[in-house]
Amino acid sequence: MGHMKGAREPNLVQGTAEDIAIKMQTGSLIEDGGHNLLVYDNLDGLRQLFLKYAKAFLPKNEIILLATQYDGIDNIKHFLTEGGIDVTKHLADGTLFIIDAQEGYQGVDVNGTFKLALTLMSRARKEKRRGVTWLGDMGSFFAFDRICELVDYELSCPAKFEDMLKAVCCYHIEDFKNLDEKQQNMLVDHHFKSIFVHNKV
Amino acid sequence: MRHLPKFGNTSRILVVDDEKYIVNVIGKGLEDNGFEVDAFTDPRKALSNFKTGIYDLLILDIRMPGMSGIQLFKEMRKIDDTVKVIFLTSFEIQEKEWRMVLPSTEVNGFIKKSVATKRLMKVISEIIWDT
Repeated sequence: MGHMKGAREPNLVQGTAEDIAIKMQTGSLIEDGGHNLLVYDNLDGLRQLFLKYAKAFLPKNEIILLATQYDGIDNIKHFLTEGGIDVTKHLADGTLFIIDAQEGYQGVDVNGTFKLALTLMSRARKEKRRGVTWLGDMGSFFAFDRICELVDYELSCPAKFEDMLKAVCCYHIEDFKNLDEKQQNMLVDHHFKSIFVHNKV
Repeated sequence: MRHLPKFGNTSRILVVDDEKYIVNVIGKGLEDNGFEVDAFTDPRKALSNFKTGIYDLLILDIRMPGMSGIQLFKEMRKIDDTVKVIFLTSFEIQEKEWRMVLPSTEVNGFIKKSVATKRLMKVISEIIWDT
């Protein structure tokens, strides 16, 4: 990948949405505590990743936080339900959260979603759950022309959180291309793993 | 639904949404109601094809990767400063928030994507013909 020159090769993972979904399902890709970056090139692929991850880890007693930018919250609920997840039950028992990423990142506090994830992590610990996975789309930073704030925000988060929190910062490829090469490389280098998803589901 | 006024020239509408399904549904609904439609799923392509005086109305998805509907509209307004716009969204419409992004620009409407075609046609006819 030409624009990824200088990135730490071992942290780069590439594959189709199906390949990546399988690796995510088995737990081999998203490690405990990892703060990861994922670049996707179509919404269908991202939906599949959300679905397959939730299907694998909700039964393993994990709390999942999905922060969506380009898909409506009702669309995500519908897609997960069609995929066999009891969305109503998981929303009711607080093991699944689906929020508007724009409100989470562009509201009064850029750390709004992060704070929610930390709160969920405390709750997971009290309830003796496995942990929290937070999959959040970063697209709102681009819509609001806040690229510098995005980079600052990402760099302010460590590559590794506590083991109970896993995070995947999701970027549509068309948004990612709006970063210059230096910014792309900084983000790839900073994250624990950087995952590039091809367009086949 | 009342019949739309007929003029010598058919009204032309530009639809831009990154989801092909949405573009197809809205495009077909508009064509079935007598409008001429140009549709794009890539906002940058829509911008590169945009010319002044062509369109009676723009229907733009607010949240699109690469270039948001707001950014696209700002660029299009530099080319045609009178073109009207409706923004589409899947999320709750927070006009106050968008007034902050577009403080001095008249936005003709916000429509949730879940809205029925019939309602959309009513809004469009009101905007185009100022009824």
